[in-house]
Amino acid sequence: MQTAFSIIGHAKANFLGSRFRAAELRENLERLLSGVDEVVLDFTGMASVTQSFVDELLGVLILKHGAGIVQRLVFKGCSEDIKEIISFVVSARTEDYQKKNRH
Amino acid sequence: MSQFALPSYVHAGDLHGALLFYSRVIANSDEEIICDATGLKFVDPIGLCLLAAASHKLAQGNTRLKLLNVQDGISGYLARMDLFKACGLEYDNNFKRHDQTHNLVEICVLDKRADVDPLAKRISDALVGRMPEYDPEAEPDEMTGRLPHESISSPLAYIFNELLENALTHGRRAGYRNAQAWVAAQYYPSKDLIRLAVLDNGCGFLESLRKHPDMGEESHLAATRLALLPRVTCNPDLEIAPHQTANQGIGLTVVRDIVSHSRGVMRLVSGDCLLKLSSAPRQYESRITPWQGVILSIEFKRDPLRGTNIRHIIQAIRGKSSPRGLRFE
Repeated sequence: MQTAFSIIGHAKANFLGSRFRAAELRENLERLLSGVDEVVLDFTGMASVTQSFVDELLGVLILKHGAGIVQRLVFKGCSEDIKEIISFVVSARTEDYQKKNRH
Repeated sequence: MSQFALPSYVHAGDLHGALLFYSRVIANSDEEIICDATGLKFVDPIGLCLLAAASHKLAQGNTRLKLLNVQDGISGYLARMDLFKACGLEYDNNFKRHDQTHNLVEICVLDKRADVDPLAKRISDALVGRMPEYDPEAEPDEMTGRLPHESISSPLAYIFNELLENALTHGRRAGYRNAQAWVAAQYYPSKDLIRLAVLDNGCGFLESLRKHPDMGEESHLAATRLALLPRVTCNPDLEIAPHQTANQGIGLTVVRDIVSHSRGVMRLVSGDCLLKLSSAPRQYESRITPWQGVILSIEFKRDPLRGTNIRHIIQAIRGKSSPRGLRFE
């Protein structure tokens, strides 16, 4: 089962930068993930986001649940900047998670 | 009662003088301190934040700050930037507040993490507010999907969010849980120049990075240099305690690169170190009157922000590592 999660719909802002807002959204996302197989994370309408925001939203999710959690996410409506920020965060945090769990 | 003469220029260009004045003033425990502003000619956002922080520090010790002899040429500006309000000073001149929301943000105190996003938005909106192409009804570009003004507002919002986040989140470690930040910003149209100041009274870079494996000698200079490197974080062990945030350590690096792209100057003070970064190949560094926390002052041209490509900046930091299994629709 798949469900959609609109960033702008939840945050009511088209630029998000703080970890504080991201942590709120992550809690909602985690709740959704506990009930469905896949979540479509919809960035449509977002002018941009910061790396700190994406790290708190997705990076922390990877550190807590492992890199496999990303397989259950589909990213929709991302600008080129947002795609690059997501790629950076997922790549770096996957590496961090693997390092941490190697020992 | 002690009396001090304010320097003529309290600005980023003379942080040595400004911090020396600050340290002399706050060293007093008199009931009242008089600052004589007869010679005061120019204050920029960092000067305003320093004066507001001095007043706050003095108030903690029940010392009142008084500004006397503020000259007509500058009193309106200080009132417009809310210096008197931030310092709890009475100001009864016939000051008329003009709407300047399109080119400045008055001194703000940031002490709640929930305020980071709205304040960053307020600053970026203010500093793009009256661009010629700003049109709230404009349609997005068909190729990029961006509104015309977003080529400038997005990098600005990026800078402000990351700096405010750093000031409040990372500054509040090692026993500095009540740290706060002072922020002020201004756009100077005749020079197309943006000046922004973020000053916090938190733990500073050295305390934040003391346990980092790449920290060589324990000095404020070494810690400040380290803070600018990508992927240097204050929690390299990746342990995330409840109610704490993670940190990847590229926020300041990306800000530095955006400022550098806009031919800007970034000054960082932490502890006794002043580091000045510009497009010149050599960094300027110097010992300075110590500051508890981090002072960050940046000035850059607004127009070159148009060509800033955040994707390329982050790509350069990411290098060749590429995540597997990401699905973009």
